Amino acid sequence: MASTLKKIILKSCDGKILEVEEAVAVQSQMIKNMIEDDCANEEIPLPDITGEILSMIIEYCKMHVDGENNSNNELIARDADFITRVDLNTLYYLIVAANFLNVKSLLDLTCQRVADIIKGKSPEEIRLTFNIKNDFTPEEEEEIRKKNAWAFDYKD
Amino acid sequence: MAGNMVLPSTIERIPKKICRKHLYNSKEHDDRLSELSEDLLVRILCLLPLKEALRTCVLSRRWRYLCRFFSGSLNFDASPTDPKKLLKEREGYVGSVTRFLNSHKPETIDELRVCFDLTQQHRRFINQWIDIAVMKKVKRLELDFEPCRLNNRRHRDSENYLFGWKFSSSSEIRFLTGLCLKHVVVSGQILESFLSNCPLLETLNVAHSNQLTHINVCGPSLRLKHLHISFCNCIKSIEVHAPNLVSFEYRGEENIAVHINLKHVPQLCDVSYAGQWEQCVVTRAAKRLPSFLPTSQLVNLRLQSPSIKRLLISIQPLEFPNLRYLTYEVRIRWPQSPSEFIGLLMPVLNMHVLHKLKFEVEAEMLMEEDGRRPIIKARSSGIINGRAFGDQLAKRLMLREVEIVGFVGAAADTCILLCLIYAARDLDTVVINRRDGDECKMEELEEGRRFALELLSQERPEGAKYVVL
Repeated sequence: MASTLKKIILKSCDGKILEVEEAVAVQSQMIKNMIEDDCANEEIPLPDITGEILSMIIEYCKMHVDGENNSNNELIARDADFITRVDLNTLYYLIVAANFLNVKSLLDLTCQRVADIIKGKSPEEIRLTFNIKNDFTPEEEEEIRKKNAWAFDYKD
Repeated sequence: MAGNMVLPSTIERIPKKICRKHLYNSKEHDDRLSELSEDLLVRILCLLPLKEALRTCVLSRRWRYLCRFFSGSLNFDASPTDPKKLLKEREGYVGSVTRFLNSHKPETIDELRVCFDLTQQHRRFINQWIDIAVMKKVKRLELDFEPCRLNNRRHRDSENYLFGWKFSSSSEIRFLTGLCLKHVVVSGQILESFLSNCPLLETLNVAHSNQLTHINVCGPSLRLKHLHISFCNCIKSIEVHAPNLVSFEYRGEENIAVHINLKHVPQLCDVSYAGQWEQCVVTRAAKRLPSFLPTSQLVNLRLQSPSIKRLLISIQPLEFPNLRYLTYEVRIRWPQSPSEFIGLLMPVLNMHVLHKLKFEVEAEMLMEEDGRRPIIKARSSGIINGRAFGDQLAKRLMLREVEIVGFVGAAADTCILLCLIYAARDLDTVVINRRDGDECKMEELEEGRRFALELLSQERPEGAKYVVL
């Protein structure tokens, strides 16, 4: 399979320069649009994405381009392996970056990961896991719980 | 740095910017999740079941109203917890659903499921919910008002919600693809209105609707693929003329005679039937079941009867040349059943493409007097009989897979298991499974599981794989 060897140059917010094959870079809908509009001939600055996160995203996109011919199950297994290696802190940056670059499959994967972490936890456990500060007064919280009691108290 | 204790007073003196950077570098996270944009938070919420998404509204103010943008399936599935508080819990539930739907922002609703012990008293709210869902082009609508099991002084049919939503009020009902009504009073006429007003309707499921007498599912352009009618105790007739129907399920009490007429169902390949057998055997000379079953096109068939004998007389004269999956759901007794049970295998001998035979059994376990241990002798007779029956059939069953659900290791189910192992020629998989909702019999099932493992290790036909779940 002869592919155009055109490279796209990306620059992270901390000044890291990454050269990426076009086939990999176009996994990002944003970059794809830029290429189509002929705006990707010079380096593309990415103001909110660090080099570390950018490398991870490129690793992910590469995995998907290389794995195009693999079975669906294989890709799912690789996705799972990729995402479980990511710690919470990195996960947020990945979500923001995947959203900015518009890499839909990665955005789905990362959001699903957060949802999976939330699943089955009580509000207290969720707060603890994500360090969410409860800024309700106990009375307010009680009132909200009461209003949706079926979601909190009733049997599953 | 990360390992050092930092006194709160020290942090306060560090300029804000440095402090944030410090946290980032040390990988200690503060609440970055809540810092995501609302779009992203909603995106995450939509990946949760509604119930769990709703729970997040108490996390913090940031999360309080995000649920209004929830665009996943609106699944209000709950059960009351305490019969004494039923009235109060109903009130709370109705209020919560009403508030949610009234403040729900997305322009469409894919699915609305309302599952709670509600009655005709709540019709005003229920009709309003249906209104909102229809206005938002709902695709799948399910109302399940199953009476709470804990509630002894139960209202009955007269109190059930009477389907009273008016069709004329909107044409947006045309987007409906699936309708499921359980414990809802609905007439055949209303169902027909759905069929004629919803050209995309593919699934129709009605259960425990006790005033339903006749259903006429007819129309050359019906898209309907799945029709399920269960436990509608006044039902007299079901007529179907549906060119796209793929699956049909009827379940009813044994003493209810229903006339089923599948007139034009060229695509039908999946049938499940549980209901009256006796009358059709006695009065119609075994014709009722065959007369409604398009036997030659069936691929998947599931038959249920408390009596093997009745089932047997009904299906024995039939041929199913294309059947791939057959499920028998039977109650078996010992020692009468095993010989009858062999009869159930007779039609199987003519099913040349059958891949899988599944038995869902309810076997009576004979226990020693102490009530704890199964009688070993009974088991041994099950083993002996099973082998003998299996040998009689002399490897003439063509199946590849056998599954027994509800195996407890009683004489009867042991007999079935061994018979199938000995009678099948190319068996490659044996599955022993438990039934959903059998939790109360956990101990028995666990014992059965152990026994099955032991038995299968001794009786393994060459190359077969066992799955004991």
